[in-house]
Amino acid sequence: MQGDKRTSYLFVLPAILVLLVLTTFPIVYTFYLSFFKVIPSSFAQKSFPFAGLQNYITVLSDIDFWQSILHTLYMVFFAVTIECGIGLGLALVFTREFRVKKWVIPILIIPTLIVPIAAGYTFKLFFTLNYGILSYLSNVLTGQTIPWLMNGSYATWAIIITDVWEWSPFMFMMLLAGTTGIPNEIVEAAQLDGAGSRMMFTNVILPMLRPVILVALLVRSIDASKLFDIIYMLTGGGPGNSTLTLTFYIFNQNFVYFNQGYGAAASLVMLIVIMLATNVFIRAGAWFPGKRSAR
Amino acid sequence: MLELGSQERGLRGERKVNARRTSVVLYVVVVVVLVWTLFPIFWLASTSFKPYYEVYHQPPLLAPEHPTLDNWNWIFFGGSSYANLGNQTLQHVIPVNLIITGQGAFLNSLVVNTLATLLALLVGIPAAYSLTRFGTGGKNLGYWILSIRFLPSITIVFSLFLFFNSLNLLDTHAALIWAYAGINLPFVIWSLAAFFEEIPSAIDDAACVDGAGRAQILFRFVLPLAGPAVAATAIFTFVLGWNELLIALILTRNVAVTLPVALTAWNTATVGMLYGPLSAMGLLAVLPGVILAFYLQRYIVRGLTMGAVKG
Repeated sequence: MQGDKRTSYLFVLPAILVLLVLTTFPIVYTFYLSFFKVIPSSFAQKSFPFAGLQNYITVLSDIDFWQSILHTLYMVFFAVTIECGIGLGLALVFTREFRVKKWVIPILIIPTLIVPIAAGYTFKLFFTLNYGILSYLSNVLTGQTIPWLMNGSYATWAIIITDVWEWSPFMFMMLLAGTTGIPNEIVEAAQLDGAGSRMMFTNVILPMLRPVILVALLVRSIDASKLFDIIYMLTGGGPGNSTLTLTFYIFNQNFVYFNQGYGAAASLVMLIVIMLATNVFIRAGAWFPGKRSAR
Repeated sequence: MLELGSQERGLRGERKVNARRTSVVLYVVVVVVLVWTLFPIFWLASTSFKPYYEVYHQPPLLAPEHPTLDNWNWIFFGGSSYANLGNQTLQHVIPVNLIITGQGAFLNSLVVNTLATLLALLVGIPAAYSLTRFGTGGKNLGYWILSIRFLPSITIVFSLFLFFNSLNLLDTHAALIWAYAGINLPFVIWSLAAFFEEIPSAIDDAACVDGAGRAQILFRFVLPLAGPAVAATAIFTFVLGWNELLIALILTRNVAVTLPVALTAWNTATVGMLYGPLSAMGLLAVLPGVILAFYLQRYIVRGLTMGAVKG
């Protein structure tokens, strides 16, 4: 059709403009800021003193920064692994038909759709030391009270548990879609060949699910590494710095200590890591119109 | 022959027992998972109707013994009869502006996310169409848009703050609307692209022969066919914005505060966490997600992976 070329560009132009102004330009500006000393007093003068690589040197030699990366990796690893396990188990259970399935599935996905900060708050209610239901239960069962939010490693696991509550349904739905996508003939053929349920799982179902699991793991890992809301409500990065994640580190530099130069430098490091992960993801997903294959 | 028959019968009987056992296991699993999923929401609802002293009751009360609307009254109208606050008025406890946040924050969330969703659709629909039908910009444009979906908002939020500050738009609906529209645009484009792809381009060609322009084809023929998909994408975009905390926390202060931000304000410096009203407001914030789950379940896999995995 004549004029299609012009139309095709006109159609994407507004989107490109919006994305440039609201996402790409801010990244470039963060990059710019990372070379300047940004302090509240320099705001008034509307000029920032040039700092060269000083921000990067400060951030990269900051123990808190490296610890925040370790905390992030720890939480992402355990949260995503547990979510994947629960999701896979449930997906295998739910491949069977049963009467109330139609009603159960929408209920199970509720946690992924609700406000994360409200989920964080609800779990704070559970974990609270003196009147939380969990400390009450542990007191009744073991005679001891677990100081969930007062101790670094417990607090980390409180965050992981909350994240697992919120995001296991995502893994479940992904893997359920994957298992229903496995052709019946293959399962039946394996059954005829005398495959038991364990053999069926390791030799038929798991290999068929591989692409879906890969996409799910990557999406979830990237999203989990940005974890902020739950921590903001549950621990605020504490006690001490024990649940300080990378996002929270940057948040503190920017909006608590007002060292936006450091914040910008740390942001850039985070961006590079996420971009590398995204790249793996895009390649793995074969994610292009007409080439979507993961199923 | 006879032996074989009895063996067969035995096998069948065994299978039946097995089937019964697995269905018992199945229902146990289902019940456990339902309780695990729903208990926090039930607890939120239950706490929101508890009077102050019952929130701290030991052992914890599953349901309020003396149900009250105090907490709801507080978040909507600022009135409270909390005993331990004594003669402190609410203004001493939390910033004045937050008294309005029950209604105010709910309305803000509603207005901001409705308009942000509409804006993202307005810009995203033609872009998605162009990407799927013409392959505009080749792979690189698509990758660029997709990579923004994974952009951590913490890395841009300070720049956005300075940007909207220089436009004098901090703490306005407009700032949040543009920010959310921008950040959710990659999601909108990729989700819609996945759906548009399933509509045969023969329809476009036929309309083209009849002399329709591209805009006409898109809005008169393709869009109605993709109707349910567009609706699902719109609702997803709305939910993404509704749940967002970080950007709203930085870009708003008093006037344009959304529900997630308002929730954080009940963690007060003077009297600590105010669990009662927080539960009421939390339930208010959670309700759309709970209701929409039934509608969105068919689209959730596609939605969350933007079409990479079909549900």
